[in-house]
Amino acid sequence: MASSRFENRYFSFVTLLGNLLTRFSRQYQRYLAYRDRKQVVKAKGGSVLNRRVKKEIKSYARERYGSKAYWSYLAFYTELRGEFKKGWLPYDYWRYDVLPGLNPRYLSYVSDQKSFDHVLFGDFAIRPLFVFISGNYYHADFELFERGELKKFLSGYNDTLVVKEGRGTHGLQVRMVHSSEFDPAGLRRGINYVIQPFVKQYKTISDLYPDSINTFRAVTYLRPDGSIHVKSIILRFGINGMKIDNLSSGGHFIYFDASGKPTEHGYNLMGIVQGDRHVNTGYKYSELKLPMYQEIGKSCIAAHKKYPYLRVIGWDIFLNEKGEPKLIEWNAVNPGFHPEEALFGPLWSDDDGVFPKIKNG
Amino acid sequence: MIHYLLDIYFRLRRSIGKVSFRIRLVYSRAAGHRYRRQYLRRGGETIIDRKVKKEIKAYCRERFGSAAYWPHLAYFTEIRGEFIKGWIPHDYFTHVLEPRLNPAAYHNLGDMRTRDHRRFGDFAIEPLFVFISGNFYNHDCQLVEKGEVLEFMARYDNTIVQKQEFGFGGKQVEVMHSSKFNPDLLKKGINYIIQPYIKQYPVLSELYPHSVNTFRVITFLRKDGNVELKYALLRFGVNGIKVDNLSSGGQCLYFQPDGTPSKIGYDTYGHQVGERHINTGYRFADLQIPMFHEMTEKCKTAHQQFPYIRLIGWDVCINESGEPKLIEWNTHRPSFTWEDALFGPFLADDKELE
Repeated sequence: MASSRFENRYFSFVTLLGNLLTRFSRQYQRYLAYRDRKQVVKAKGGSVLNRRVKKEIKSYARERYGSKAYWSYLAFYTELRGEFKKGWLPYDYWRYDVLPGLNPRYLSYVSDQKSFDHVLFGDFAIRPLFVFISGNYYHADFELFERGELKKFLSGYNDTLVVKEGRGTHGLQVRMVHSSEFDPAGLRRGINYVIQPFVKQYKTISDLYPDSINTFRAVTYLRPDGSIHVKSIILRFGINGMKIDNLSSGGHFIYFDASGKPTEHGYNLMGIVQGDRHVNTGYKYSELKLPMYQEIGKSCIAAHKKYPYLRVIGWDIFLNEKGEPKLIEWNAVNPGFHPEEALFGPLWSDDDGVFPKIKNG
Repeated sequence: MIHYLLDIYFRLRRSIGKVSFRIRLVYSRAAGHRYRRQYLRRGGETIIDRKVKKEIKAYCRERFGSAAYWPHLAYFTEIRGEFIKGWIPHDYFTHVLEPRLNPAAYHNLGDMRTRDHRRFGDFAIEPLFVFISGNFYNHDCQLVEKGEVLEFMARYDNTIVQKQEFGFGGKQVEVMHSSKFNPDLLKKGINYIIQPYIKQYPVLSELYPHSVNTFRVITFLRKDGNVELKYALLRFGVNGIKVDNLSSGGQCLYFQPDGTPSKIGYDTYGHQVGERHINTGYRFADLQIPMFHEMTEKCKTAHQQFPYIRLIGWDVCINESGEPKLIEWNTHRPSFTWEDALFGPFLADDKELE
């Protein structure tokens, strides 16, 4: 049909436009690596990149990734780490060459639907008190609220509610409201919401910084053989009165090794060391002990097994008062990783199947 | 810089989107004219005169904001024999109403067929295996080695159905004997579901034995949160075709909500094809489906479990023992064209469509 012929042409044009933008975006990403490298050098007061190291990096990039153009992130990693490590995965290669194949876009967007998490992951997710979908209120199991039932529930609940838009990002589109002040007619039709109980976090995590819910970002990876592995776990926390823990909003993080031992130092978004104690509470990072640490990785692996459509998932987890890991949200569109890869990597091995195949002869 | 480029990109996409929306409307309207001409060429007599045309255009202007939506309604009027207020023109439905009722963001949640049995339990066909991200899993999402799958297939010794996830129109479906199953032929980057072959209810086989004849049940989530049945069609193959899809040449019957079939069958354009099946001679009016109500109730209950989408098309077969089984469900473009013309209007109340 003519209409579908037109649609095909339209989609081809949009794809072409998309590819063009991806090319620009990749180049710009490399520029960002250069800019960040300069900032790291400034913050550290010196550079470790000399002519010899640069040559080594470029030759490694050419040999491993087929082009020396991938050198910019490797150079940034080198400045951050203080030395060059073979085996690193440059972020531009990860984002533009690897990730689209691991997590197809059309499947990744499922991770944005917060009102669906408890359906996919059961008890691992925070069970909503109720959800607002297509203009109606439902129980967590999608049973419709009867007329007057919601009002009765709210008056009986008498506690804080967390109201999240179904597709919010970066902790935005989230608000807290007391149940007595929640207006059922106040939610916008056309947007889906999930309404959760306000959660209290594990005491040790609260001692580290009490004003934000401090969350772990665990990255799990589904290998080609079907086994799932934890790639990295970091704990993010707020500073200076921040109410959220997001790194992009100024939060810091510490990294945990496989045994659950935290790093001695905290880091900012870029991966620059920010001291060995919390800037406000004075909590010494190396003293942070979490007996349930292994449970975090195990819970994420179990959840990933329930959704093997995506190969790499970033899980945002908090520890509740009892110390149980609970899912806040999960990210598949761009589960970022570059400060961890630079500071604590290489995190990827040949068994992961993410490196380009080396041509013989 | 990146934000600047992104801004330009998104602006350009938006502009192209707007232009393409206009062009698609024009094409869709041209199709409306074409269908009408085809109908008249087949011997139908036009009932559209100046007065009716004026009435249709006035209705379009009042309800949809533009008289330009009239061509599909003119076609509807020809095949129904009269103009009825309350119809939704196909171009408006496809490009304006459906994206509002069924937001694109939730289509993929619905189209993941490899999850249907976990979501709808017994209503869906339990798969033998699913193939996701390059690995085989059993119905319970437990990893299964390729060797075990081959071993099972050799033992199974029966017909299987291999479907691609996100396939449409009955394409990307293969029926084969289990011994012929070759895991190495599954395409990389595509998920598959491997199901047992369903033998259909004897009456449906008598109607036409060479295809699995499925019902398309359309349910609608009302504004108050209740789900209602809009209509049901039974599709069947003709002239030796192995699938029942209308787009592949199949025909269909309309079922009233009480389970009574239409006396006459229809083709993909809503044209009448007679009172009996062209090959088997089965009289359509004699068709009795005792489990029709059970089937529509199951679709309504399933819809209640997925309120993100307001209009869903359920493809259901009836198995040998008379149980309705979900084949697939359609969250994007569930058929809604001449059905509205011949048996509607189904979406006449604008308050319900807000």
